[in-house]
Amino acid sequence: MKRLDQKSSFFWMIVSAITVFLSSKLPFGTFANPGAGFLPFLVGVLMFLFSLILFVQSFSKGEGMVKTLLAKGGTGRVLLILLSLILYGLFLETLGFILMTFLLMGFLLLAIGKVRRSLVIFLSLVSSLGCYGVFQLWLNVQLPKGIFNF
Amino acid sequence: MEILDSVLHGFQIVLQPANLFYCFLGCLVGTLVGVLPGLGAPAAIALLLPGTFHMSPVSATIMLAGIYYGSMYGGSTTSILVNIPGETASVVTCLDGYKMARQGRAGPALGISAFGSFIAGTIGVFILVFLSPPLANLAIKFGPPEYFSLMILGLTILTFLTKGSMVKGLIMACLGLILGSIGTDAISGMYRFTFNQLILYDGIGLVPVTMGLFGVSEVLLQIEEGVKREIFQTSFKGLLPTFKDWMDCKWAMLRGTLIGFFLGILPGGGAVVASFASYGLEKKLSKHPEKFGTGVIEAVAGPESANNAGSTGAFIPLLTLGLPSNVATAILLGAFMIYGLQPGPLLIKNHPDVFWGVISSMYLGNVMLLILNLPLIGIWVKFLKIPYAILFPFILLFSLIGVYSLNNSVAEIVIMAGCGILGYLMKKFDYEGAPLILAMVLGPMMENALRQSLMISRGSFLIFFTRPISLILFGTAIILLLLPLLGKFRRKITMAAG
Amino acid sequence: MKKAISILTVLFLSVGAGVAWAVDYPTKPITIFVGYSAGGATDTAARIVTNQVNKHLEQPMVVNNKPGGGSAVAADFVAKAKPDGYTLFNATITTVIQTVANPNNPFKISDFAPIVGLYNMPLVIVVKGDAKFNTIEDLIDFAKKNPNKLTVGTPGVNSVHHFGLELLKKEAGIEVNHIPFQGDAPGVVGVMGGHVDAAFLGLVAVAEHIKGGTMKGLAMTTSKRVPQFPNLPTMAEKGFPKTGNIFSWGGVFAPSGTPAAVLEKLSIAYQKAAASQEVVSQLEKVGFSATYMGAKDFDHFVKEEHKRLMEIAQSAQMIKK
Repeated sequence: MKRLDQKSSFFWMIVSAITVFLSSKLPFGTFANPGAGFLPFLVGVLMFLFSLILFVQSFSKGEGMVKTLLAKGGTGRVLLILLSLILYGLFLETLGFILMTFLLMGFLLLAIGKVRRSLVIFLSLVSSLGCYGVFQLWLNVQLPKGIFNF
Repeated sequence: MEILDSVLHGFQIVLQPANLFYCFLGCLVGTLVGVLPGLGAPAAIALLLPGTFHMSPVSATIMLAGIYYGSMYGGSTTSILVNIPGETASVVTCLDGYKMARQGRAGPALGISAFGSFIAGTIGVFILVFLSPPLANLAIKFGPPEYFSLMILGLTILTFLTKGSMVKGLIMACLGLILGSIGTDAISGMYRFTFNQLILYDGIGLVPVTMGLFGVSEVLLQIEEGVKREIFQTSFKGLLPTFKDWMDCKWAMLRGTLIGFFLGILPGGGAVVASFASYGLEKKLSKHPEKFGTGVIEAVAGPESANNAGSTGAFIPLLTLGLPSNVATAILLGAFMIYGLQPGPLLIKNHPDVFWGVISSMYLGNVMLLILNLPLIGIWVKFLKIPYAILFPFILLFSLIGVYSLNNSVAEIVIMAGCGILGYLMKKFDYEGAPLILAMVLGPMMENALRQSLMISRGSFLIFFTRPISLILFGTAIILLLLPLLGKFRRKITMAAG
Repeated sequence: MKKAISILTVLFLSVGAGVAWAVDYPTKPITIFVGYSAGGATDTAARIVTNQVNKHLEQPMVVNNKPGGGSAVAADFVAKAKPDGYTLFNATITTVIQTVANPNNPFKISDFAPIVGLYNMPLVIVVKGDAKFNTIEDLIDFAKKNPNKLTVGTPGVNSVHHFGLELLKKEAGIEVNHIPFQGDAPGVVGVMGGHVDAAFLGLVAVAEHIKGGTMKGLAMTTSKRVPQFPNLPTMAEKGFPKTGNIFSWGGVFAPSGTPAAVLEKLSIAYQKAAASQEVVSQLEKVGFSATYMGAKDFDHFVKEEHKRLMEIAQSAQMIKK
């Protein structure tokens, strides 16, 4: 716990410092007439103080229990899946819902566990077309069509 | 007895086969969209709205109302089963509900949320029938100062919400407040932390943050651990709550109902805050607060009753004043107008059919939802037997579609993914997401109410203490904050004396 | 000779192109973007009109919701879209206000070619049902005697209601305490609960309360009285012509640079749709009065609106960084 708390509190100190800096550019107003920067500035200061307390605490009451932050082998997979979600978001509107969903589901099914290839293809097809049917055709959600127009 | 006649008249309307059918249809669709993470009642109502134009106004409103309160039943399902809230109002249900599922008690957890929702919905309808006008008057008394005091009271819940380090909980609350302040400042019209990105002008949506912080991060964690545990291995100990469960929950459900209903009638209050408030209250009153967060059933029953009662309570300002208290009721208001009904003080006089028909349908709807949801528990629990390698991709896909469909915006998908990694790291570093969500909900309301109040009073803080409702709320908040300190103080004295 | 041929060719080509445009459009579905979520008032109005327009075009016109930034996301998207007539924007007065109030706004009003003005909604100055003010004169008198005492709510900062309030302050020579709420509903609560003395609200939000007596309407920001409230005076007849001429409105914009023949074709379809009784009555149900304006008039109107709102914003210091 000890080292993890040091790292995270340090991170929050940076975040709060940035918040304080950015909100200092907004009008603070007065206590009787708060401006746009009032709340973010004060909250940023508070957050910095809390992070500082945590930072100090992490030295004094360290039980020395260091959790393994990253399990072996799993990290790469987590990053890949996260990346795939972001790519899905970025290319959804250009490539269209059906194609992107097919690709994403195929990737996820392969990446997460051992699923037979044939089942992967089957499930990806069913999910992309099925969701299109349910959400676009039945519920009228406006799913993106993309450049291929489907 | 005029009211009883009206209610009977209402039942005559609902019991017509067509209306019964639409009531059932609404409840069914509501349950389903509630179960799907991200896709909520507002989206479902808006999507089905055009299809209702050829229906009679009574049938249409009965159906749309059914979707709205029905979605509150379904919201808890994914919270309990896979730790992914179906609605923001079900975030707190994750805390103990998922732990219960882990212990093989998914059935009782789902059961008690269905029963809790039913009891809350039914009591809510009774209050709606008998106390609408006085409660509507109470709702109007809530101006900016009252809201500010209420939000302060809400923030005290934070202190009960964290089960680990208090400092970490407070850091998360600060982060929630900061995230909530992104966007156009509602008082001055200035842009805060928007970096000239149009997409940030309206602020960061609560749903993508919730989905990322809870849903995506949970899936990532499980995947990292390796999908060794192919399915939930713990055996299922019964599908329904036991007698002891009932005894543990009865007061929690009642209290949740009252809190939820009360917050529901305030325009802007709503089900999210109600569910958090109920959790906080139960923990405060519990004989074993230390067990909260490890899978206690009253921590599921209370919030689930509260969010359902909240959705019923929201009908009071909608029907009697024409005031929507959340996005879903705002869309309902629009629907009413298209049907040629003007919700407001005159609705009950001009369109008694609609007013009493809808209220009676809510009573029947709750019965239908209970009957619908109890058999579903068995089916939902079976979903846990699907191998994770197949279940997780589908959970991610439904979250993606749900988040996208809110605003048809791919930016929200990216925000969700970003919050996914944040939530993943938070779990690694032992931070809790619930205080962040609560602060993100309360923050903007609190800030606006504070600034509006001070504008009205021209800078005098006395406005919070000279208005009775505000004074009571503020006082309660202070007492709640001081109680733990008093307890410590007394213990010290007795120790010194002894 | 060569010159003659080339001139002829150019002439022929340009005429041919013009004809081809007029005939060839639309060859695929047209998308009209709405800057708000499905189910809201603006969305409903857009759908009512689009349903009718569809009867006068060879290809379907589809409503697409692209919420965000108070409709600025959709506006910006259309402003930068290919000007071929297949991407349209359901504009409101908010679009103009954004170009006025936000100096960093990514789109300008000149990025659009207005096609048709469709509807508007008057604002009403309201007080609580049992308030001591019975006429707009009472309210203004009180404000004059007690500068900055009167609290007046609006549904938001930089809303059209806010502009209306600034106009009134200037025209009546009063100073009041402006309380911006977040939307119509909190504004209504503000008046009914006595949290503010008066408010500028949209007609549809207060109509039932005025009829039911829980609110008093003092005056309407139009030049003519509306049939729904024949007894409600207008600001114009009370001697405030500027405050008597501000209201929210909606219409359709195409990206500027859209070929004239395409605009013409859309214009005609919209004209036919706007003339239908169905559209007029359905718009009325959701609180808008149908006020058709052809492309030329609407273009002029939007430009004037921009000029006027800019003046108000500058003099009231409403422009935010």
